Amino acid sequence: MQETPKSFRHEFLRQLLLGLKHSSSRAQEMSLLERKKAIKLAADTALAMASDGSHWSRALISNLSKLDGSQSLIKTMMGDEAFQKIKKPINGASAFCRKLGARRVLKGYTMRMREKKRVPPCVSAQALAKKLVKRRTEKLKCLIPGGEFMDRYSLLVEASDYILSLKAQVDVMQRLANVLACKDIQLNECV
Amino acid sequence: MARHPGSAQSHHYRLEPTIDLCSMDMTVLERQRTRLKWLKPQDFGGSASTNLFPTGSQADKHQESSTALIEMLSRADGRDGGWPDLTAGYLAQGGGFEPLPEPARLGFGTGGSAAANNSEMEAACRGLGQAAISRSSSCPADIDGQEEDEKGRVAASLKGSFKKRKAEKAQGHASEASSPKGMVTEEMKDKRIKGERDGDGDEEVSKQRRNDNNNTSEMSVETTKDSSKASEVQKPDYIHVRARRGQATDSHSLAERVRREKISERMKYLQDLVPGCNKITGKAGMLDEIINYVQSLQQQVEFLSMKLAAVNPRLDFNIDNFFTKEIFSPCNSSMVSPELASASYLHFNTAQPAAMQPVTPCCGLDVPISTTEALRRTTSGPVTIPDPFIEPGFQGNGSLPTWDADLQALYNMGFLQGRPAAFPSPPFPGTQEANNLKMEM
Repeated sequence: MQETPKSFRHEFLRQLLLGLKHSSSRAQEMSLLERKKAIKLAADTALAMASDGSHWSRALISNLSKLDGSQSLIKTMMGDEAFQKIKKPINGASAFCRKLGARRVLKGYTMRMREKKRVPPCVSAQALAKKLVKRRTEKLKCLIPGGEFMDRYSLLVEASDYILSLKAQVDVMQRLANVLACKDIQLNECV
Repeated sequence: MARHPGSAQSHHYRLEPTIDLCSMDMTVLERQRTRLKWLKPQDFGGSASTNLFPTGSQADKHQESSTALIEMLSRADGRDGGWPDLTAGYLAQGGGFEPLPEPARLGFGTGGSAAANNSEMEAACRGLGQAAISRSSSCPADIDGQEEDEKGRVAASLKGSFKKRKAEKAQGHASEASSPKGMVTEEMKDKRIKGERDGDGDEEVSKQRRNDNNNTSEMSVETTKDSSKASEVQKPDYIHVRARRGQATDSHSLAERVRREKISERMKYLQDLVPGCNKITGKAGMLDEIINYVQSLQQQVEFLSMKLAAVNPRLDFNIDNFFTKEIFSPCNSSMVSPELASASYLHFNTAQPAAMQPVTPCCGLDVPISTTEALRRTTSGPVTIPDPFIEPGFQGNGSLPTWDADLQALYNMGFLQGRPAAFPSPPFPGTQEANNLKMEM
């Protein structure tokens, strides 16, 4: 199993902590869930920034920027110019992507309806296998950020990259949580 | 390198790293790509992103391999030698395949076997059954022991390996045409290792189609029973794909086959990434595992962010505060880096000078200082993150390490490295220090 390089983890942690610092100014009045959302937003943005250059990272940032209240944090973390660069093509391509996505959804829907209508008496193994693979590919496309418009090969490439980065993210966050939990334990023991 | 006795031009492979290529852990595809990498380093320059995570894994026996299928088809009648290229010229020109940037990363299980043919067919049949690819025209049903699988697959990949390069028009390469024997590729050698027919220079040479002319000439020489995919090495700007036996030979299906091989390669790489996928064969199962794994990782991120939110009510992730205490306390206190401890001390000085003064004289050690500071800091109510923490310069002390330097110290302490046991029971030494503090206070 491969490990991400240390520089990646380093960069991710750095970005994460920067982002958390930014969002901590409003930390007092936030509920637990809001804090969790802020932390997750900072973590995802940090992940996308640390793995800059891959397709899914750009898609992830654009997805995150569509959430409410996230733009200020993302702008702080990325810098204004980078953020503008991300925003611009989104607006331009959004209509096209929406159309494309809509077309695909419609096509998938009609295909499914058609398939249901005419059930072949004997389903060949090949057709069944293809259907299974197709279904799972669709699901994977939803999971990987920005995967809806990729062909199968690029989807696998992005998936492998995404999995590696996710593993690193989970690892770093786990260590961070351990550190903080230990600190809490120590404090409780002292008091 | 002149494994083939008839090879007159073994020097063509002088650039190849023999160690790599002799290793049985690499498939032919991998070897070929390594060779190509050596020959044409610039072609791989753009693949930095995909080269980020090099692999060296062994393929699993039970992986679906379209190449195995290819090989099965090509060796259906047990012939190793023939590489007839009915459409080589056509393919070379009508290829137009996109370049394949990254070198092969996965390794099939390797092994040489003289009985490769049967195993290939068996492996291909297995792949056939698992992948539900019913494109083979002939699938002999002799299923041998599974240990032949890998060997068969390697042998299969020998013939089925191909190389994609930036497109370049196929030309009559005089040099290559003149020395068909010189075109002995690594695959050829591997085939020899596997006990394929050697000694027939023409036949083996024909396996590497370097260009149209060469191929056609070789075709005419050798028997045309077998057709398989081969690739060439020394003219790296091509994609040479051979038509498989019983397959359509138009460019569309060949491009599809190339694409499918790429995809199966990727799936093998993913099998390494996703834990517990060694026994899964077939695209659907693998995709299922991948989906589950990605979902579980995303859920883990959610859970960890919830945990971080719960642990830290104020979202103040002050590195110096937390990490100096937590990371240094499990370690020997003598290992405390003085600059980091003093940095935290100074941070506190600038942030809360009044609060710190009465406490610090009590403790003489560095570690208790940071412990005290941490205690004081967290118990003194909500603390805003001091801006100096982020800025490189602090008021009154320009020599303080920056935030990045703190992180660097943390990093050196192994926090960011891949050590799993970075926090082995930290409470215990921390408790000790806390007790010391209590005594002092």
